[in-house]
Amino acid sequence: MGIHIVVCIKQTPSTNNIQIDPKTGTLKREGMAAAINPFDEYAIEEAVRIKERVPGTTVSVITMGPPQAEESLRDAVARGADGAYHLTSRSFAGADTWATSYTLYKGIQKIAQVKGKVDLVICGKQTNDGDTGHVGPGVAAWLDWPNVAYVRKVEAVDDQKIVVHRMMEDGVDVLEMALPAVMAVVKEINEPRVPSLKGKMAAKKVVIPKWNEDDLGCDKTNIGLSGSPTIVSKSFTPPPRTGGQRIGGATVDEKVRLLVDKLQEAKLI
Amino acid sequence: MANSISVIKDRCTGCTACVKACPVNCISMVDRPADEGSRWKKLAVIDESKCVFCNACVEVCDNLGEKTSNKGTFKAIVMVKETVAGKPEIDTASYKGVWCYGEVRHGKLVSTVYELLFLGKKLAADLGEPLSAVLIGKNVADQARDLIDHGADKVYVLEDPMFENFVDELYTNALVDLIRQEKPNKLLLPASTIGRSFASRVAIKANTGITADATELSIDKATKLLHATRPSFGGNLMATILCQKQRPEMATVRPMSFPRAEKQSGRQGEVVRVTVDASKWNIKTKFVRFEPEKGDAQDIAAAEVIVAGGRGVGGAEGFACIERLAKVLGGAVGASRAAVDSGWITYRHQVGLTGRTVRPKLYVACGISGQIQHLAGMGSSDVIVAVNKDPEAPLMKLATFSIEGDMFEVLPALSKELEKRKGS
Repeated sequence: MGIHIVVCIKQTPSTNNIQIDPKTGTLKREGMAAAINPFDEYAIEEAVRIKERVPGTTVSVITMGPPQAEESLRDAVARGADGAYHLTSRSFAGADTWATSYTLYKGIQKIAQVKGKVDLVICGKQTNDGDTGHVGPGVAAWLDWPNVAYVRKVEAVDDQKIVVHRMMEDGVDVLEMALPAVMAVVKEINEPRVPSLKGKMAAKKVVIPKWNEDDLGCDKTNIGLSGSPTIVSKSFTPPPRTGGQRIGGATVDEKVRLLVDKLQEAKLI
Repeated sequence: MANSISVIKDRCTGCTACVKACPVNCISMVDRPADEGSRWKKLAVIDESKCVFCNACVEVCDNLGEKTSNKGTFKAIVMVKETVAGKPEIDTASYKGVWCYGEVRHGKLVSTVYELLFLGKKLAADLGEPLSAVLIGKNVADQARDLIDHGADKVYVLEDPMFENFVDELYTNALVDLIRQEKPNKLLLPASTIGRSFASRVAIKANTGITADATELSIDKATKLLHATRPSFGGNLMATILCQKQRPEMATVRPMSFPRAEKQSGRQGEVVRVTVDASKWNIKTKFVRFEPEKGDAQDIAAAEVIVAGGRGVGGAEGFACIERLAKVLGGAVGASRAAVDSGWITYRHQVGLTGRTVRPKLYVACGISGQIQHLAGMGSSDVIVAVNKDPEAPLMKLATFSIEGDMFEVLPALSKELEKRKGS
């Protein structure tokens, strides 16, 4: 029997597009194209692979974000998701990871209502703009489901359980979770395929429900900026790293000696 | 009413100060229509759907307004914040003390706890409150003495065979129960795999805010709030995060951001054995097994020295000279995405945006051009050495020291020179 997977994705500025202003050495923020957060591509691909392993599986994809984030949901359908759901409202803006996890949790509950019981939630390990890695485990906390993050391999999965490999500093932990469960995946888990023609056609046609806080029945003290326990009090661009010293020398040996002198001076060796 | 933000056209000079201040990149500069007749060419436009209403742009613009003699300019951004009944207020004054989470892996303390104790001691002193450490594990009580010697006034010991291995649900429940009982003011965890896995779950269960991967932390003198500053967007933007109304204020701290606390044998301290009641936890995760990484290779996360190879290494066998230099320097082996994607080395060595973030004292980059995605993972290293044939490679310009040359000549010579000086 198949399972129902929900993949949480976020539209973020495309990493291929990050540019440094040559004058100031800082991030160029204008004109960055948006795309699916790179780690979420692995999450979508893993869901599609589980669908291929466990016949009858359905893959839904969910995002919280502004109207233009719909593009990323269509992209996810092109990559093999069956349905897509868009949580969008001005009131969601400014959410920290606490409020974002809450909103996604309400969205997953709503998907379960309209599409059927959810068995597995997959997230990317973190986004490339926020870099927190907090939302996947956060969603698990709200759902009160087991969770494993930094998953590099799915060893086994059926409609009752999933066995996963977690990448640790000193090796691999293998854990078994009873479904329903949440996992966050790292890049090593797979190699995402490019959207198929059939997928692209499906992406064009798919009807994407848009839900706001009232549709989800959110507690309004838990969403958006006002529902977030943390605030950004200030932000700044760090001073760019200034270029250092080119080690000259006529021969390789001379250059190396000079470098080792420098490293000794800096007490690094 | 939702939050709103807008720009008063007549007051905006198009100076771009707000664009630079915005943490979420939602302000852009557009050309004013030629027929508008304004003396300014550009106008700030704010994408309200992306705005997090942090007030940074308003402050910058208002400050400029204070300084300028032309009172008709600046103070151009108007923000109206929604007034929603907030969360129920808690008595923040009843939360006391700074806690450091002592990560234990296979029965051993991970060195990150000494960095947390160094930082925690400073924060506790600034608050005038005690410093405590928390140990969760199977046989961990013996480690408590060591933590007291490194500055902890109190060590909470949660010892049980079920804690032998890290399971998110188990550790979350254990820590949350302790937080509810003991009410700490600040809670620091390492931004390691374990710390980053369960800290967010703890924050939500304990109904409080958390900052991920902070690199600078301090206590505000007036408010006693924790100011946690963290890099985002691959280190290209720093943001200072506050959690004003919930407790404990939590943060995970990036390894290698602080020195280790010094050991003072025989310090006074209290060990508190905590009785754990797991009857209501209903754990649905089972630890199956641990597969250690083959060989004695050091992990990059806590390495003080990393020697990394990129596209210029040319193949898996090319990593031999990188490994040798790493060994001579007592460091770990890193790699760029190009090297990992080519299959020359495994993913756990990958440094960068889609890999891992490191902060060693010395980072030796060999045959790595230094794309921004790579810099995101290692740009905060203390000293960077770049070795590359191409003198124009971005990393050659950013590195503290750079050597133009063939890494297959430079690296062996460097290993040899280092060995020679070690021997002498």
